[in-house]
Amino acid sequence: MSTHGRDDARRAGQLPAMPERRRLLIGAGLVAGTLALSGSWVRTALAQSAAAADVAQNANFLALSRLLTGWPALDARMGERLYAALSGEDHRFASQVAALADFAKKGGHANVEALTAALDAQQDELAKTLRRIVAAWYTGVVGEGPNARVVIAYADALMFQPVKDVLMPPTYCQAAPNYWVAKPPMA
Amino acid sequence: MKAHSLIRSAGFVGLALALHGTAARADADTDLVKRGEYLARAADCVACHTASGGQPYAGGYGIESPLGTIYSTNITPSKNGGIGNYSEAQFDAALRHGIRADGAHLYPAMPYTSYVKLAPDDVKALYQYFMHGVAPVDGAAKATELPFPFSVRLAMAGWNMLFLDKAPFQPDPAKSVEWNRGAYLVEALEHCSSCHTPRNALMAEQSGQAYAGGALGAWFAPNITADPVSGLGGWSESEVVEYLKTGRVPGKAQAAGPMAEAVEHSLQHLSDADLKAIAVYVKDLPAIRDVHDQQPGHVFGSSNSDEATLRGVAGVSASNSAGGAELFSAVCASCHQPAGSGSKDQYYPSLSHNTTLGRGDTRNLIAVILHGVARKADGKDVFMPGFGADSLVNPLSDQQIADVANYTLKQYGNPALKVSAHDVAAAREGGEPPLLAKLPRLMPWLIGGLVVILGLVAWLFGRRRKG
Repeated sequence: MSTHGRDDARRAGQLPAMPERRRLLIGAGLVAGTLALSGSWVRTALAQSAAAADVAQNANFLALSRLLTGWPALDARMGERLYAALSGEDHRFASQVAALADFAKKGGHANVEALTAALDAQQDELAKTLRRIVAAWYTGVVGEGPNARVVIAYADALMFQPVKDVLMPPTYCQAAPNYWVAKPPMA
Repeated sequence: MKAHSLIRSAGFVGLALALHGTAARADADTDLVKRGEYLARAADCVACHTASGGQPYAGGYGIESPLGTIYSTNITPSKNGGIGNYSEAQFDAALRHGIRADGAHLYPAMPYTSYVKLAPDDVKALYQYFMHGVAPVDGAAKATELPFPFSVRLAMAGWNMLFLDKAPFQPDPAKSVEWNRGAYLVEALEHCSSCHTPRNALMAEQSGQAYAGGALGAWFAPNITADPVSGLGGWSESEVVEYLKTGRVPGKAQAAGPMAEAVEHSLQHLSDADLKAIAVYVKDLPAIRDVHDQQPGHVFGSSNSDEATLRGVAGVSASNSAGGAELFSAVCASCHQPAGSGSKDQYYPSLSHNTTLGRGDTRNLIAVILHGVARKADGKDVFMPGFGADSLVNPLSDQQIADVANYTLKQYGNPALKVSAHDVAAAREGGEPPLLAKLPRLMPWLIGGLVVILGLVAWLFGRRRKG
């Protein structure tokens, strides 16, 4: 108690001796605070515009995917993840998606068969990108063989959808135990 | 010669008549035994009076009452340990008034408060069945030893004074024959109120809350009154019959726990006419609404899946299981499907439109995750593994069960409900014990006083009745 009191008294006696240092400190603090605040504002603004760009890119990818797969209702969340994984695999992917969409629009190709035929004849690189996108949606996997990056969809992968009424992918129960004993339903 | 043959003919006729009489009596006895067998099925005697893996009706099944384990007795006709020495009057006293042949009182784990309404003819048939239709098994079942003061069986005399209504079953002439048959089955034989009516502080059924739903260990026997929100108002008669016969109604509910046993051992064996009568009566039970309920339990939820954001991200770990989504994907989805829709044949039921997740009470959700489902009904074996400590699949912690329960409630059921790890821990212990069960540990002297008060009440009641 008494020691603290002495320390306080000494500090109190020293401080008025350097008022300019205090002003400097306060001023520096204010400048730093302003910079920090504006910095975080800039960062937020940047993040917002980046997010807006992402939303637009994802929407474009989903629209293109609908044309490429022929499935009218695709899961937007799965689309985002496939887009991110495909972009991570190849830095040119974003521009290729834009080029593909542009090519389909200009050529007026109504379905993926017509589009693929046109690309195979004129744009070999884009034809490969098209097949990568279709494969990703159908298998739920991005990349092939040892280069496969990640399993993004399993039961929801498009390849399982046409047979879903009579066949679930392994891991999921189709029906009651021993359902396979009975004759399958006539389609 | 003539006289001789006459006498001989008369003898033959007499013999034939005598034989005929015996045969008729034997037929009548067989019919009575058969009727008794049906009644014993309806009353589900076997559920409690048979230990798991034991001989039918030989007793020894431990009923986990909040006050301690009550062991059922041997009710086979063995004279050594069974009820072979019981007269019909003694059988009747035990069945309808809870008094053993030696004069001691039964605990109301034996639903004599319901059986008291049994018709004398039915008691007779049951007696014949238990004397002649059941194989005798020697040896008394394990004795019940409740802690003091519940060990004082005489206290039940006071309890009976307060809570045993000895009035016989009275048909309501204003209602149909079918309704009255249903009333008799529900109130007396099937003793539905034993579980579906909440109990008061002294463990007696609350008359003002008849069939509004009661606790049964970790399980909850739901409201089965005609209320359209809290009860069965939204169920059709045929759906009630289907549930009692098969243990399930797709899009509404499935029987698990003690109700699965009731369906398996008793209800599915009833005649269609009796099941219809039960449905008619239950659909007319005075409605009781829980003010917290906003819509019927089977209305909640829709199929949906978080697979698209989960797959390939990370497995279940201590750090990411809090959302429950990963746990659901790992332990629930293989049967209930990634979107919780259940299998196409609904053998694995949908989690949305399912009263277990929509009802305003989470006890059955916790209990079914802990203990699973085992039900033999409708010619099928229905099985869900439990995820409790003895799980054959994957024992989950209290917190994990709470997490996955909360995830399924949010995703497929009533999102207003929450389960805590404490709720799960309580369910593992067989549910929150009622106040009466907690008292002995806290204040034994108070219970002693209660017994004295009950005795006094009984004595005063007795005096007033006589006077």
